[in-house]
Amino acid sequence: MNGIGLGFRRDIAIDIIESNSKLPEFIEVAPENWMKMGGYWKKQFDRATEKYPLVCHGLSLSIGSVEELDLDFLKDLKVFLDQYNVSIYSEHLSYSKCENAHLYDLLPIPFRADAVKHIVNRIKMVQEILERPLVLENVSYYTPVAAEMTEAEFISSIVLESGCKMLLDVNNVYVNAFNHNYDSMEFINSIPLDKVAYMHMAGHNQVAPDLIIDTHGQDIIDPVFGLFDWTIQKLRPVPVLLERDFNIPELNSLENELTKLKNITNKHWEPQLQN
Amino acid sequence: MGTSATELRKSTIIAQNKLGNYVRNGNLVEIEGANSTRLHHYRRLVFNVIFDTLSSAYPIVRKELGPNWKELVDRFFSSCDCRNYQVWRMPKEFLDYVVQGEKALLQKVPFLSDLLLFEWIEIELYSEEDIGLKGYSTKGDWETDKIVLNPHHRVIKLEYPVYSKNYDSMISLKGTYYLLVLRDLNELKVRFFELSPLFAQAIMQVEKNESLLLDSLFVVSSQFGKFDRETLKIKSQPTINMLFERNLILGFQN
Repeated sequence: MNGIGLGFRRDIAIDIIESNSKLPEFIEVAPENWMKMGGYWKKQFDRATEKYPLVCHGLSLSIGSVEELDLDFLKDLKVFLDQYNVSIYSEHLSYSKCENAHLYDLLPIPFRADAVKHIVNRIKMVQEILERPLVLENVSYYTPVAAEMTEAEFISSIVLESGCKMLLDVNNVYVNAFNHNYDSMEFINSIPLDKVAYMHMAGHNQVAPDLIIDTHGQDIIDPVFGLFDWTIQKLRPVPVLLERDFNIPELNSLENELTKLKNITNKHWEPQLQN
Repeated sequence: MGTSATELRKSTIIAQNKLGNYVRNGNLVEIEGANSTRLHHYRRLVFNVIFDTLSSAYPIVRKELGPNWKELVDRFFSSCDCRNYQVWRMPKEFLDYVVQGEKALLQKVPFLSDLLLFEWIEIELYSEEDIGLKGYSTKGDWETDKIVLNPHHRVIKLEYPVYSKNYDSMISLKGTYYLLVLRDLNELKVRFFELSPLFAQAIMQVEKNESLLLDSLFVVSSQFGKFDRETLKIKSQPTINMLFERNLILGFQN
């Protein structure tokens, strides 16, 4: 699967279903928001998945948690992924559960060798249960916690040792480079780009002279488009998603961003996609 | 299949748990290697998810509690472990927490647990997984044939008529009220109807015993006075018609 996708949010769900535009070419949902769901939204979700290929981007796996994996959740998840024939299931390289309590947001894992080993084992279990590769996203973070290696070393070790795939979120690279004062291009050059299976692009919000929060609530800024343009020249074609979770504008406004992403990917990937 | 954390060093576990606990209770502690001036963003972002989800689930409770709402959400999140991986179901954990753990608040606002249930049931019925229907006939006689009920319904018993929205005088209205809440299977919207105690209890009996509706009405009616079956049937007919129209009674078992 390739192309430019859009997060299937309820605010714009009906517009997406009834759109005649060529973009988006696929939709993405958080499976937790649609699993075991019935009624009106299940009906709309089924309409959407009849029209668009579906990618899933989870929230509750909590791959970095200390406590055991939730096997009941994984079982439910597999049923859902199989039911909708989902080939790409991605998650966040973070933790969202602590002492068995869900936090419903992403916290940064200590960049440490013991955490790498712990997470590698968990990824292998998840992949075995789901019978599909896990695609893990580099998350934005506002402070490191108990770090003993760099973020790039941490991500690379996990990806290479577990055999999982990577979701490269270019906005997150930009945000982290800004927040932690490193070079975004150097970072991208140092991670296993041949493992990238999916990409995210999003907007962010600068809240202080030295801090950006990854809000998914604004348009993508030009420097992030620039970093995306530079990055994809190093990658084989993969699906690219526009994430917009807050301050969601009209669909035609989002189509402008989708078109911009499409033009950039066409510029660099069209020859490869034609072969 | 094991998923133990034996690979993790104690200091890694401590660092993760300290951050997790801080975002829940807001009590800042020193966390190894963390920039303490930025940690509050995690607390704010996580708390906002909880606050927004609960505010959206319980708009009337939020309005009624006013400034106490945020404090209640804070107490819930810091003391109750949210077990559900689906954030839209988390408000049910909030309801359970309030009923079991907020005795002082419930004394102050005695209709609070009814109001929470009233708001939660709408969410649950609107979104719960579709339940397949066995074949049924739209033709039959409710005196002799077993009725088929819309599976997406609840009959709830309340102490306060929280659906009337007279919150200023609610406490003086304490009594016993029954509410039928159902998902309209055509429009997929949730609708609320007041039910008489006779019909509410009879419908609950039909669900429990798979009995004939008229038999259940006859048994329950003994609490309310003496009726012969024929009188009961005639007096009940308008309500039965209403329950058909409103999509609670779908038809008759084949």
